[in-house]
Amino acid sequence: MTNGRTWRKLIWCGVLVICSAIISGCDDQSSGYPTGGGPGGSSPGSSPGDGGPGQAINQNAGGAGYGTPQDSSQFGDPAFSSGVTVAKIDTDGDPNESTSLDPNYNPETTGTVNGAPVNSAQYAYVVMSQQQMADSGVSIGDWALVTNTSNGQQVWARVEDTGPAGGTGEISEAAASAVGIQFQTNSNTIGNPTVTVQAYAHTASIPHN
Amino acid sequence: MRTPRLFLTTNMKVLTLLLVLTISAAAADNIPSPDGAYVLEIGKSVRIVDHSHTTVLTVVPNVQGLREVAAQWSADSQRVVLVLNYDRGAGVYAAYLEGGSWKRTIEQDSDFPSADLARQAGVSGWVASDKRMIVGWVAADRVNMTGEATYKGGHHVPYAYTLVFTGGPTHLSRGGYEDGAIKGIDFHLK
Repeated sequence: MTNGRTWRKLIWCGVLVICSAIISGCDDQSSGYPTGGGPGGSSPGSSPGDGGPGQAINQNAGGAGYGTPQDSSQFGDPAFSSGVTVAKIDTDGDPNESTSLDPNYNPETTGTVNGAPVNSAQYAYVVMSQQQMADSGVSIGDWALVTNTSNGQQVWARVEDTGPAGGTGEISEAAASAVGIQFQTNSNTIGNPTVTVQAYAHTASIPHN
Repeated sequence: MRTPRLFLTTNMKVLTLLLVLTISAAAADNIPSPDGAYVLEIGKSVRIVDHSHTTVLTVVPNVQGLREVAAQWSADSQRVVLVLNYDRGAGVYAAYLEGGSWKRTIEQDSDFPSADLARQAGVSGWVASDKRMIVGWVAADRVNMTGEATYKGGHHVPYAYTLVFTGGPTHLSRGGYEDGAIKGIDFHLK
């Protein structure tokens, strides 16, 4: 019987070791890039535009965001360029949004800030598809430059969300406000503003000013 | 009266069952090739490792924000297709053995006929989110796939298509993927 108890202890120890090893290997999916800070948004354009029936113009975006990269001279050529494309507003991560306002709203974003979704109203960010990121070498957290092609206004942003195939020009509320693009709470833009998005690979670790 | 040998035998059955259940649960992230020569390991990255656990190819270097992943090996263990679904977008990746070395590729966005599908479904607007799923291999060089696109405004459009390994010329992208090695064809409403 002593031998039986000894064997039983040894076997249970082995099971515990194996289970511990498997559990410790689990992926927590946490973000590793530095968190942002500094001003990322500016005042939205002054034209009130047409809010449309039942839809207020969103005036809340443009809070503190990622600011500007400390040294963009290291960036070199952009790894991804969208070309001139119609701007689309991604409200994801904005706690003041909801699916009743924007049916495509998602409280989560691919990137995170201090473990929380990236607030679209607060942070200037852009959305890229998996293929766009894979083929360009751009990753979540890398810097991107958004330019409003109608007025030349620009804002530095980070790549923070994964979008569907072929999507281009999708930017956060803060990024839109920063370049003078107005939009409604349902995320529809006022008019059809166009932007370019240029993303820079391997720049996530470059801090902001 | 139970003998020590009988005691061990009974407990070994329980332990074996526990181990099998534990390993089965963990196997969702480790998908072996049919011939057992390789394993697709899904963790903070997606890698193919050989029997000595040496990485032979990193298919996806970083899966931050990943919600779901699915993968299927071809019967000859020469190819593997995997789908990575995020909250609003998906990536269809593949790895294939060519000339003795593993290469990686990704389905091109341009394959996805979002406007055609919208027209067929009678919806409008741009695609706000998209999800993909693997149905299964139907030949050595093709895989049946499904997806569901959600258009601006919330209209859901389920669709199906075939992913084909072209065998044609490829272009190595800046990110290190052999563009053109796979192509999505025959997209249609489901």
